[in-house]
Formats: sequence, structure tokens, C-alpha cells
Amino acid sequence: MEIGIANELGHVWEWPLGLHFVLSALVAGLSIIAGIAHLTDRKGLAKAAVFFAFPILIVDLLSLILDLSKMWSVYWLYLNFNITSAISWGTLSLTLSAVCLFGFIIDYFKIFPIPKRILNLLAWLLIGSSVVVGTYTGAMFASCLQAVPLWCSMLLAPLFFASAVAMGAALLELFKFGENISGWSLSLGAFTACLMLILYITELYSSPKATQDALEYLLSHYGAIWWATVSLGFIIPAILAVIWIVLRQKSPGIIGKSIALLSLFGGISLRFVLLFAGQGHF
Amino acid sequence: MSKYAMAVDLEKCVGCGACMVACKAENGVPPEVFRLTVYEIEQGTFPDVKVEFRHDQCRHCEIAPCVLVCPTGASFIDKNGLVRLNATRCIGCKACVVACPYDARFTNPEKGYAEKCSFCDHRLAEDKQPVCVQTCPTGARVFGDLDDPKSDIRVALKDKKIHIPKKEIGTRPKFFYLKKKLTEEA
Repeated sequence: MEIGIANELGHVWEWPLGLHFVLSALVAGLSIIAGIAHLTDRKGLAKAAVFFAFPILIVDLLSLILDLSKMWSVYWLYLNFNITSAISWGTLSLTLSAVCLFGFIIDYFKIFPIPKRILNLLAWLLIGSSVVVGTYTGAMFASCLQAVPLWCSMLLAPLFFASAVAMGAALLELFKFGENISGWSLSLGAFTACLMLILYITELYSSPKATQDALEYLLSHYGAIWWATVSLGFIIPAILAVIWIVLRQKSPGIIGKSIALLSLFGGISLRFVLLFAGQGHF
Repeated sequence: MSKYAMAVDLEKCVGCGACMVACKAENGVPPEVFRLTVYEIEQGTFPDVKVEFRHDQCRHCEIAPCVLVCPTGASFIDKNGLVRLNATRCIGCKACVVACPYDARFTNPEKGYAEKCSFCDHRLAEDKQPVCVQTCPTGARVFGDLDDPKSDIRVALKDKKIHIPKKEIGTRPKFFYLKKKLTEEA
């Protein structure tokens, strides 16, 4: 018999936040590539990455705001900084990324000439802020580790970061214009993401019972999607990456396209599955 | 400074739900949500079955995950050790709702901000007990200042066996369940 009706928590974080996680990953991946490409004088690649990243970042910020149940109070995010809050770090780094990307766009369109020294500084800032953007969504999950067993791992932060870099490289490979993304970046991203995912799963298996139960729940309710995510989105791209390295091809080619497509699927699917499966365990 | 805490004596609770109703009325909680819930759990197998009533509400943790994840400072710990919420600052990101290991928080469906038990801080300011404590017909709910050796809570904690749900996660909650001491059980 239930005396009271418990609060229907269900999915507290809904799809707009899942979309925010995916777009943040793309922004992080693209921005890191843009920053490194700028500093290594691969201007064509840097330009392509910046032009992809900026509009995605705008939609990303809108999706974050859309998920707030008091969206008109969003300015409070900028009036306060809580060092222990992943969202605070995320907001700060996304804003910094937006400023840096805007700086590059101003330069590319020659609206206002920006000295090379300043552009280099912006590139370094962009790389730094993108590392935070890439990791903060994983840290946001992990900061709830006492409440949500499936997110009970700080490995989610590096996993999300590795996956973000893989997704950024994948997007540039699939919709390339200008200079090509290096097959090495694509392969390394896919390989590291797969490694981190394996470490994450291993950690869950060796964690306390609640976490193991959560993993079992994931395998039972989201089994097919989970296995598709792990195998198609992470393991196969990593195997393809190794094949590409062994074959020593100069350009990514059809293998690169396959890695890109699967890495994008894996990154998107991983975020949504973890978001919904984690909360389903309430 | 005071260090407020609450306890529920599981031997005395009869599951009448008066505390839930009083809380809703006192704090104007919308119809479909609760700051405090009471539910029944069965332990053991027939013929050794035992029924207990458990209470879910904010534990006012000393290391509060909700405060740690709040990006705007809307959730904070006040000088009396109470975990409080500034509704104006809350942006409704729901990070605290997800982070709470006790499922004690929810989003107010009418106003959009996060909500939870406040130990009736408005009543404490008037030197009154929280409304759930005052309403409880069996005296199962005990409230007081942990720093005051003569307070009801200190006396109750001394006399009974203390059970802290999810103690292992280390949030140091200030809400306890009281059971018979082992010697009495024997």
C-alpha cells in the first residue's frame, strides 16, 4: 500500500539537453581542430572548422536554454560561478568559445583586421575552452554519481572528450570543403574514444552493486541500442582506424568516410542512451 | 548557531500521512507534487513479515550534492546548516533534482523552479516547530538543534538506534530514522 504518491521524477533531463550534449561535443571537436589547424598553418581546415562550429554553437546554447524550466532567468548563469558545478564551467567555456570563434569569423570576412598575434592567442584560448566544453557534459553526468549509478564514473568526462574530438573530425571528413582532415586525427579520435568506452564499461563492472545493477538495466531495457552504440559507434570505427593506419593510406578515403559516419552515430547515440537510461533507473 | 536536524521514530509512525497533508497546506505545494512523502515497505517473508513506513524528504545534507552542482548559487547552506533554495536565482536547470540521492527535489510545475523541504524555515524564524512535527499525532517526528544537549532531537538520538539511509555515500544527512535499541529488540 502506498500512503502518498511519490513525485514522478521520470526523465528530469529531456531531449533538449541530449541535443545540447551532442552539439557541445561537435563544437568542442571542431573548435579544437580549428585551433590546432590555425596554429599549424592549415588555414583551409581551420576556416572550415570555424564555419561549422559557430552556427552549431548558437543552436547549442539555444538548446541549453530551451531545457531550462525558468529560461528567462538564464542570465543568472553569468552572474554567478560555482567552482564545483559542471554547468558553470560549461557556460563559461561555451561563451569563451563563442567569442574566440566570432573573432576568427571577423578575420575571415575581413570585417576588422585582427593581428596574427591576437589570432594565435584566440586559437590557444579556443583549444583551452574546447577541452572544457568537451569534458563538461561528461562531468555533468558524473557529478550526479551518488544519485545515478550508471553515471557513477569520472571516466565519462574523458570518454565524452575523446568522442567529441572524433565527432568533430568526422563532421569535417563527411562534409569537407577546402583542406582535408588528416586521417591520423580521424583514426586517433575513434581509437581513443573506443578505448575510453571500454575502460568505462570495465569500471562499471568492477563498481558497487548499484552500479552493476544499473548496467544490467541498461543491457535489458536499452540492450539493442546499447550494443549497436558500442559495436557500430566505437569498436568498428576503432578497428577501421587500425586498418587505415596499417594500410598507410595518404587520404582517409572510403575507410575514413566509414569511420566518420560510425563515429558520429556512436557519439550521438552514446549521449542519448546514457541520458535516458541513467534517469530510467530512478 | 543552531544545527537543525529531524528524525522519524519508525516504531511510532502509523503511516497516517498527516505530515504530508500538513506540509502541502503549509507550504502551498502544487497538487501533483510533494515535499514529503510517506510510503510503506514490507520486510521479510511470511510468517515473519514486518511493515515499516519510510519518509522521503530533503535530508539537509552537510555535504549536499544539490548545492555542489547548482550553477547559480540558488541552492545554498545557511548558517543554521539548512539547505535552502533561492527561487529567484533558480533557473530550472534541474541539476539538483538529478543530483539528489534521496529524490527529495522536484521542479515546481507552476513556477518552474526547484523545490524541496525547507524544515519550514519560515516557522523556525517564529520559534515554531516544522508543521509536520507539530501535526504528527503519535509524536513520531522529532526536531531540534543538534548543538543543544537538551533538545528533543538530541534526547531521541541518545535513546534510540539511529538508521541513516544511504549512509555510505557520505553526504552527512541531518534526517534520521529511529529504531529500538538492540537490547530492547532482544
